[in-house]
Amino acid sequence: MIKIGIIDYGIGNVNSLNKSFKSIGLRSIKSDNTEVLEQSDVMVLPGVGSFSYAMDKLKKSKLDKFIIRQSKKNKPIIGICLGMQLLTNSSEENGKHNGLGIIPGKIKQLKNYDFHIGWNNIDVTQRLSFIQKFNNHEFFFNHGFAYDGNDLNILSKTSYGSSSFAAAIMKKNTVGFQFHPEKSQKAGLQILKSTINYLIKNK
Amino acid sequence: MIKKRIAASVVVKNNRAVQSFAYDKYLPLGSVEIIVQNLDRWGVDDIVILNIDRTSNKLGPNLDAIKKISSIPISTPLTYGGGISCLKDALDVISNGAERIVIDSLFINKPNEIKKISEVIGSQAIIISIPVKVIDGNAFHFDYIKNKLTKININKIKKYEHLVSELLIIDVDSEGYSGEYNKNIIELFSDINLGLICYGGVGLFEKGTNLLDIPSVNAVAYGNVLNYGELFFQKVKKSLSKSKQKLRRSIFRESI
Repeated sequence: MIKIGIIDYGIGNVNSLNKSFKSIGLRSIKSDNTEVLEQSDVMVLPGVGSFSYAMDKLKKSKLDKFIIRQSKKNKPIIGICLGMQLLTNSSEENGKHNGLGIIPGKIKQLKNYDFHIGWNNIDVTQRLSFIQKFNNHEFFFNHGFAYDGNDLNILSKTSYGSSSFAAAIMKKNTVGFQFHPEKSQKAGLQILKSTINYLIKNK
Repeated sequence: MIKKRIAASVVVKNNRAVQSFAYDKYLPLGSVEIIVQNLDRWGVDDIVILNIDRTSNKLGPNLDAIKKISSIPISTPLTYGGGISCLKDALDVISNGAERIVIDSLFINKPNEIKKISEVIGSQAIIISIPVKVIDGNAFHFDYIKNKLTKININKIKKYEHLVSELLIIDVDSEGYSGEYNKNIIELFSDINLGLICYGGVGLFEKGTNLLDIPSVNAVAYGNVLNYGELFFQKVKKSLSKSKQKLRRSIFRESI
């Protein structure tokens, strides 16, 4: 059975995520122990919080270097919401702060200090079967900052007013979702499962 | 295109979900987890837990309830309010399974804490709840713990525009009743650059539809009315889809 390692660095809805994986038949453990996380098939970086605080937590626990090392070994990694943003080079939330630099690009504030909160459909921009089938499906977003980077790293986009930004990004075996798949009901759990299966197959 | 949300609120008192009537009268509904499990199954857009006796009893947030909800588990966005008085409380609520928190008394009693919380959990995760009574055309904050009315200072709220993401504006007089949400309240908050969640007497069909057509209204929240029947949420959503707004199609699960 596939084993998911949820990186528990003291910020994020780890408990609900843990239960969500179990509900779709996956073995899941939340931990800040690198040996435990290393044994998982896929690591998940969750996050509900501010970028700088989350990066500080990762640095203090040395999980930042561990995650980077694992990505270099082509370990499948999924970042969710803030977790996705942490995978990039930097963010301008509360000043400029460096991220993990696994997926090139930076995180910028939405226009007019706006927030993108609620259910929105995604427009899949890459021909990858694991995500293509979710084109135009609706997912739950809750953020005020968004990814700004090369279109080659963008798997899907979403539109908000006159803006359009990344809903999912990818580099090698690392995928980031700006939305919360674990809180996007049936489609959310399906996209999680589909992504995990794809990443493991392509490891 | 982002969809306007139809949220479900669950009022909790003495660890039980209750029907609340204008913060004055309460009737028991039962286990919080079962109520939330049903709402999740019905496909509501998000669930807002309002635990109204945690602050007055100095109990802190109801982490047991959040843990039980997370262990169901649910796959609907969860917001929690009640007893949050510091950053640690906020972090505990988030780590146990909520994506967002509602701040009520803290905004009145210790507003400086909001900045500290926002810098850590992010402004997208914070909603300020304001129970409102309108008297002679003025908006008053209703402190349901002290049973006290204070005139609302809109400029004070504006200072929090970048620290929180939405306002939950409760029409106290209509809360729990199938009356009509007082639209004058929305007008009184029109200078604030934050999305609104309207709760209290949102009512059925046309009334709710009109609220969703107001640009600053991001969501309407339903409470008591959802507990009257198995498919009531679907009926509400179907009727609201007559609005000019495009709503999310909710998928109803017949079993758990």
